[in-house]
Amino acid sequence: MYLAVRDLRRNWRRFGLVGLVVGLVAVLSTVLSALATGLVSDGISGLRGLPLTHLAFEPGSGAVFTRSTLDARALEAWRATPGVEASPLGVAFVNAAPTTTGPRLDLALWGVPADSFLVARPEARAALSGPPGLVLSDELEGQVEVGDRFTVAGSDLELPVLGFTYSGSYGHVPIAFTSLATWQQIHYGSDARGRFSAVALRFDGPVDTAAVDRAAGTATRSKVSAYSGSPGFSAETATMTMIRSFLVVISALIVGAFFTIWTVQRTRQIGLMKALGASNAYIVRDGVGQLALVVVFFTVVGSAAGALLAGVAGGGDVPIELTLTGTLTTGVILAVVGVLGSVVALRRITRVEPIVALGVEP
Amino acid sequence: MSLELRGVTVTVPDGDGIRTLLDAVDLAVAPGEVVALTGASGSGKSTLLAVAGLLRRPEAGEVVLAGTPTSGLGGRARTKLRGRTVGVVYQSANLFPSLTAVEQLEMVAHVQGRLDATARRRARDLLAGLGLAERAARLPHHLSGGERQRVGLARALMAEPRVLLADEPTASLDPRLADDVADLLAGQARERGLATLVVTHDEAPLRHADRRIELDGGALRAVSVGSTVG
Repeated sequence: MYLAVRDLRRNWRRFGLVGLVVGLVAVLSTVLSALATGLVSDGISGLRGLPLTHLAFEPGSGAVFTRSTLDARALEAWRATPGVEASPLGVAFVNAAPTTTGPRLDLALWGVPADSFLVARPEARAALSGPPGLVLSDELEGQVEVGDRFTVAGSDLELPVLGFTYSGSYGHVPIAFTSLATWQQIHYGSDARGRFSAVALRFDGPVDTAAVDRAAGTATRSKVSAYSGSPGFSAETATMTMIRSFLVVISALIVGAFFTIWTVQRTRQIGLMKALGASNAYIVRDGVGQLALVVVFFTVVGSAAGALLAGVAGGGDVPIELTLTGTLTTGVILAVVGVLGSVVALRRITRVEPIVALGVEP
Repeated sequence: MSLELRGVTVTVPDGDGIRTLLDAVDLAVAPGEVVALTGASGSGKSTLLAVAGLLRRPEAGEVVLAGTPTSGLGGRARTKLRGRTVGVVYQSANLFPSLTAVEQLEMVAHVQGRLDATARRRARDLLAGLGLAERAARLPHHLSGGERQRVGLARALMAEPRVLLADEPTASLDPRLADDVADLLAGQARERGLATLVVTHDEAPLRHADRRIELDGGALRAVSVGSTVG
């Protein structure tokens, strides 16, 4: 890369435009990556944080809690399965209005028994085994105080805030835990008949889920595959993936187009290198190496700027979550695909005849 | 002989037909001999130079470089032989715009995988020998036309070639500079024992040549030294 490095050093302005485009794509990709991570967290962080491995839903519900209704028969079948911990779980989306002053809250209300394996901390067990109340996601701390009372719309049940915990969110709203009995009272009124949304499961080893599902009348999903049941989760992740994919492809095309034009412009120089005895491999190394330096440099700068921007924009209403892994992965993909984009011009390089150094058409 | 062309034929497309640029051309240039090649525009002078420098393959015939027949060589072998055996001086120097004078020479060593302290010293010595020691760190656009052409000559000599080819080396220079460059080129060729073929329209290279040949209708014919350029 003898020529490439000196060319870059002395003619860096020539590479400024393509560098700017690559850098801007990196900025946008980094911000979108952070936004995608944030949206995922906003959608399923509550579910992801629970110590369960699988969930059993009502067949045909598509892992959507609000479409699934199970009862004691399903729970007992799972509880009777060796190597499995099973707990009923009720999930509903509610609106809670303050009895005095304060904000109205949209909540994902999760009902679990106090003795469930899902409730690991003693203080949480104590809170859920006492009088009815709400344990709210800690993101609401500051807006709401312990002791504040809320009326849950539809049931007119008035519940105090018992405390806060890191419970995350589900379906883009904060999670509020309550006891299963309270959840059933809110959701079904006086006719709960032991019903709930799904069975939370923790497997110690391999389990023949198909056999148990047949006996229990359930459809079991792994925790990760149950994420798709979160409202809007699949559409959001598909949209973000599509946008990011387009960005990567656009970046590769821009780099490829630039490199093709750049190769055409320096055809005589390439011919001269060949006339001096340079092999195709030498010239390809020189050209692709030069572009790789440009792409990597501007991707790093763009990713850093994007991370800065995401850091500034995060923390508000926009669900941005910046992670080192996400930023690095995005940067590496952009750099690799950008360099791959330059491959389109390689054939053009190899086809240049050394005679063009003399200004003669081959 | 360091450079031999035996029955070399080159044809090019010409409208619907084919035109013969070189018709079974024979040429031999001895070590240290400077041969000037003249001919009308489009007669095929640069093509002959390209064939002699392994920059293109002829349709028929054989090119022998430093005793090595080249018609059976593959692309890589031709590239390697060209790099180590042939030095080319181009019209308007044809320097890399982003390399300084000394880097133009170092680039040759780098291409051949031999850029070390010895090569760097040799590059500086070559420039100094052509009166360019003070210009070594200058980029081409900071050099005069004559200086650029001398850098081009130094670059052609960098690989210690056996054959020196020059394509209109004085075409872009004023008469005084042209004579200086032609004198330098011929002097270096004789001093280093290089078989030298100079394509030219100018008087200056002719004055310094040992022999003059003319390409006309695809064939070479000898012209006595001292004749006016046609």
